[in-house]
Amino acid sequence: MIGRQVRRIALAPTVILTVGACFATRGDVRILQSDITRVQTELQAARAEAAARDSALHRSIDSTLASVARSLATVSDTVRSMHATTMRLRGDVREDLTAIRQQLITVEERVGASARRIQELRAGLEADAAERAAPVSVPRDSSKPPAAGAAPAATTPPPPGPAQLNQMAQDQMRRGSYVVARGAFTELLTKHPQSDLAPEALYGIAESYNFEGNGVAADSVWNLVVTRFPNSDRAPTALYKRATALRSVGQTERARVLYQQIVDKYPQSDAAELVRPFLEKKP
Amino acid sequence: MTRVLRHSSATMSSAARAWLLLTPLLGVLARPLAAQEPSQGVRIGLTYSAGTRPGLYVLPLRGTNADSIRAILTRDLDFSDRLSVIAPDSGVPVTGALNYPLYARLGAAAVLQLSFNAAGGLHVVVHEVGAGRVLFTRDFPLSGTLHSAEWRFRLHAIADEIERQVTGAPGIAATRVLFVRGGTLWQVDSDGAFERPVSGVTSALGPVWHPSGTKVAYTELRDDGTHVVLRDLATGAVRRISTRRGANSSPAFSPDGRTIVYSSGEDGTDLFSVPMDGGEEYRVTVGRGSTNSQPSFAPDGRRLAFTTSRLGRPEIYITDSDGANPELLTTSGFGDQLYRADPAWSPDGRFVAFSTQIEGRFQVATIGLRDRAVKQHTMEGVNEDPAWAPDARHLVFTSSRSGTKQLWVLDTESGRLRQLTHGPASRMAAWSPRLSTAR
Repeated sequence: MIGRQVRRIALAPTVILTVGACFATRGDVRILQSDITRVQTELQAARAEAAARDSALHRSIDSTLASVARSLATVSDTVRSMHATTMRLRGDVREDLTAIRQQLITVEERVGASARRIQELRAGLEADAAERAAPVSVPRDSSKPPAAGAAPAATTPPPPGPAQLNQMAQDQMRRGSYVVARGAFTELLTKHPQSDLAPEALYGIAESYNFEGNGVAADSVWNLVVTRFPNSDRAPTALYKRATALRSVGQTERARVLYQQIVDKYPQSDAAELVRPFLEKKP
Repeated sequence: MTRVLRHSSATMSSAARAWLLLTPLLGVLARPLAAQEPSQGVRIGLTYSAGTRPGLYVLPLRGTNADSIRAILTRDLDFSDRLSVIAPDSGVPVTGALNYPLYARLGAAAVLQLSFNAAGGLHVVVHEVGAGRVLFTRDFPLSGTLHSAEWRFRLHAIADEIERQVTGAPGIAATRVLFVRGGTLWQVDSDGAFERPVSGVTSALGPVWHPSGTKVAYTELRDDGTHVVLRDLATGAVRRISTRRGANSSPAFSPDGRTIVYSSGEDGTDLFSVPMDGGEEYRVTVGRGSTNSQPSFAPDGRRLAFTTSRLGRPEIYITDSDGANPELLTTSGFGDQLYRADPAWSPDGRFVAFSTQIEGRFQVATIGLRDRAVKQHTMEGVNEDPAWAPDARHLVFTSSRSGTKQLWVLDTESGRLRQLTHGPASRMAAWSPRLSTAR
């Protein structure tokens, strides 16, 4: 619309000059010049008006864009803040989980350490009990004959209990006296086959052979630990020992089979945790 | 825990000490006295037993650099802490038969007689005083530039051989100690001489010697994390050992040198064992997010000690080297909040040395593997990072007792201490195996 007006105004001087040239007088020319001047002024005014209108439009657009940008920045800040909060929360949760896991491990380890301490105490208690149970041998007055029917004073101490035997055997293992240790472990198994320390003793016998370098004997006794006491804490370790010994001599496939048994039967054990990376590798 | 700080105790009698005042004259008088002294003297058996220090009389030596040679040998033998060295500052060399009873009165179980041979080498004679006979005679070449590291090291090896002849076990003079100074790797001779950087190392922590003494492993700080690297000391060739992402640190060699165990992980760390010939790696610990590091092998390679936080605070555990049977080594009561770290298994397998926090400060202690008895060895300043000498008797550790962190050497039997390094702050020492012998 504005374009059409501008075009008309621009054509007007040409038409007037062409038509009016035939009849023009000096006055007419002056009038014509005046008209041209007025038309030019109007033209300038129209242009200024159009420019002003464009400028207003631009300002409006700029303002709108700025507003949109501000809104976007606000949204972005909000999103960033939410992300940070989420990350913090995630971190906190992870930290809490790690702390809980650490506490669980700590408790587990402390329980393990306490169990060992309890075993030592049990051995001590057994020794005390045995000492108290042993009849006190009162030195007899050799000048007097023993009373008729009086039982002779017993001097043989009572046999050691399972905890005592286990403690003795473990001490001998530490000293490197594997044969002596094996003897104590064997006595424990023979005299106290139902003891909760029986798996420990059998495992100890396997270890004593292992330390002596008798791999065949160690392997067979580790196998006994697994078959006789499959639910004991020692079973996964015995399986792991068997498998690792096989792996160390290059029998990888046989080792893999035993490792898989560990994961299948004792998935929560440390041994399972140790063998998983090996099993995850392709044979 | 029992606190024991034993002091050096020589076995010389007071009479023997009095005799020492006359020793400068001894070189001159020795031969004439031989005819006058009764044949019976104080008999001191030459068979070495723990806790005793047989006296070794070092006769004077004359010739070029004689004083330096005698001083180095005497110091090495003294630093062994297994011999009570009697070395008068003056006197003349003794030739011919010795007056054994006289030396016996001085508290000497053996006499060391040194001279130069025609080739410029050292002629060494060790006399057994009690039996009145020559125990050992040998010529040793003295190669290398005078007073150079090589020349001094040759003398250290001679001292070790003399000690072997007298006590039955070689000394530890021909060894070196690696340590960290200013973030890089340094080494020093066992007597504290020749502190020098290991060339080509830009950053290093926690160095350890390969049992061959030709290579070292350490933790290197790089832009992409920390890595365990192996360096050949002769060629400078470097090989990266760790392949895992995250923090890789605290390497330890198995006694046969065929395996290296190191700590690695991102969320907690575990120990991993890697064959040196490039075989498959396997995991040794199940930390489940806890920190497991600082492995140290038993001399038979079957077990290793390590530091773990699985109890909530750093503690020392031992485990089979295949990862089975982890067990708390140091006994502690429920609620005990001690901090124990830096385990080092002694080369004879009898002890584990470690750092333990006592009254807020770290101290060096050992625990017996058989009886689990703990013995505290230090009290002054902060003392940590113990490492055993190959004689399973001396420990090198970091101590702040002199004002800055320096390396000190402790004789665990007598409690005798000496400062090893004297420059800028030094820490994380690793004692080499015996690097050469004079034989």
